[in-house]
Amino acid sequence: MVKNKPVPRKHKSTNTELVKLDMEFEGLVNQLAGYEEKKCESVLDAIEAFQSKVEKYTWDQLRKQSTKGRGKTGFNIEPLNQFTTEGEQISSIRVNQKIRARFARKDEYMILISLHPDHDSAYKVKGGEDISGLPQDESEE
Amino acid sequence: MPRVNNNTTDNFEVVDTNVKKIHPSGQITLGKEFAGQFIQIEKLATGQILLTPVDVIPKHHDTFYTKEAKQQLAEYNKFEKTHTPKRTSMNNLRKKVAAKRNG
Repeated sequence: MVKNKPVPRKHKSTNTELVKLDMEFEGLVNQLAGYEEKKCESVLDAIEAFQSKVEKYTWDQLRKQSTKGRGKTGFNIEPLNQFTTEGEQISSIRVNQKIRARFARKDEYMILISLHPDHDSAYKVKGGEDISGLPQDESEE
Repeated sequence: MPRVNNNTTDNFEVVDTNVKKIHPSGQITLGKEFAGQFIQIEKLATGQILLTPVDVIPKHHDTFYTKEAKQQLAEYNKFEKTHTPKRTSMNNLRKKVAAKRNG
């Protein structure tokens, strides 16, 4: 298996600038337009709330505070093993409890690529595994 | 699925050879350059053991590797080449989505 290698960033450092959300990618618009009307509206509302929240942070704050624990922002950014052709690593970020988005960063811009159901909300049990379908031990009752 | 190969080294260019003794607990050390990496271990019918560095994708990341997700990323890569980033207002996004739905 060929391992992807990140290409060093070519752009200026904008870590102390506020995040700006870029949603110009037509693939994202197509994805939204493909949803049923009710779902589309609810996802757009979620993105609106997400935008107003995420744009209050600098990239530095997002990077430092997105991990779990004290001071977390709740965005839970996870780098993915995917890269754009320009060498930017793609990450996922929590839009709300039900939706995650993939994004690429360019300067101070967070460019949304696609929307996905949030896997975190699919796992009820802390630890990441859904064990609800497994036989439960009745002796504990 | 087991790989059938009577002489594995025929298919690989050997760049380094090393003999290591296996620890009584079954461990061997590959060296710090491999620290933290995942490797796939394949026992071949010839008795050879093939170690291949691999990327492991967590199960909960499956949604990012579907056919549709890969296609969307390929489209994004084309878009990225000519796109100058700019902030998008929600009004603009809503208008674009509505136009797409109605058009």
